[in-house]
Amino acid sequence: MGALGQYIESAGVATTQISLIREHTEAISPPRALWVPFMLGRPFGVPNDAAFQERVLIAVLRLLEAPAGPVLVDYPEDAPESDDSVTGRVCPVSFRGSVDDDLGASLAREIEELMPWYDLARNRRGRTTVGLSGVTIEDAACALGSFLRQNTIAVFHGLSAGATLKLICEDIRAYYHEAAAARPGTPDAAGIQNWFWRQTTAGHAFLELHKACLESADESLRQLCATSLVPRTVLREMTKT
Amino acid sequence: MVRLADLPEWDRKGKLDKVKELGGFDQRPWAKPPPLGHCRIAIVTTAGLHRIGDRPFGQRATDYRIIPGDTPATELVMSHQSVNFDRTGFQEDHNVAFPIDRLNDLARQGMIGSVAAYHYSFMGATQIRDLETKACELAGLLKKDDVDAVLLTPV
Repeated sequence: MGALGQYIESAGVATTQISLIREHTEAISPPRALWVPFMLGRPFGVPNDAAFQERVLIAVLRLLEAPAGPVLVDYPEDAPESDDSVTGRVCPVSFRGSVDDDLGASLAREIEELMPWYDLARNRRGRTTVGLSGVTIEDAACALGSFLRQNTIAVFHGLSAGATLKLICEDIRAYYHEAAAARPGTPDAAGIQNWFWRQTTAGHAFLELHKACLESADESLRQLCATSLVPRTVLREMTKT
Repeated sequence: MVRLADLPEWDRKGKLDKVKELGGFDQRPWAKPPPLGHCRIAIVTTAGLHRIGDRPFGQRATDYRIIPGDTPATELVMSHQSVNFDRTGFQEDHNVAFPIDRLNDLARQGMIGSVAAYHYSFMGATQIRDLETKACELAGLLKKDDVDAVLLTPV
């Protein structure tokens, strides 16, 4: 992010930016930056809190009034914690069956069971972020299950196997996340992540896919598992347990 | 939060190791914008956002996608290659990563001059120096849209 500030400002357009990792911003020293104490992925702190987001936005825009730079300022306000981070609630969805030998079949069943929660989330929000792959969630699950069984996939037009699976997995994960967040109370990102990776067939299928990709002769699949499939924190935790 | 002191040792070390790759930006560019109340502002994000029909970002992509200012939130999706950040916030409310509604609010209040017609998105999981060519190209486009200042937002 800081590099973009350097490049765009050098071309004559003023920039101001949010910094999520202060040490990285210090190293690049862009013209104006506001370091915020928020989790990665949430530069404006908290969803559905317009007043909080506006305070952060005003603070970062005010840096444009600085007489000289570089400027790196710390934002003083933490993001409010969700109710769930205190209570430890995760997700009210429990699944009927355990994971069977056919991950694809288990995944399809789980997706069907989550459908009411997903529909609720989509209707409440008026939007969904599922849809990158351009196929239905059922077809996405089918494609992943098929790859896990046969190690082949019908690639999307012009894309590698790794890129095709990335889009499919993004849709499946978004579907689960959106369904989980429909539960009562404020969604908690850590709780949803923990639920996805430890309690769902989808998380199990992603970990199996990760193993398969590690050993693949296809470079696009090795790239997929390097950074684009399972978070580093999850891989560390899973290898410990 | 991303205070390095709060992270596990392995994660802290990884982020500190990356600092070594970020040196060499020795210039101190400084463009003076007009007063905030007269500033036309665009958002440039590295969140890998785009409209649902646009090409998704690929591995190490250095190009950008255009997000017209009137793009409905229902059409915004994310194809960032990294999975090492939270997506649930964006799924809940796009403004937590791409604060277009908040920026429009400030324009209505008169705190900023106006909001640009076009905004732009990169995919941040790439070599930062590979972004220079497209960033310079983007600066030219921003000037044509009479943009005075850019709000840069990472994930």
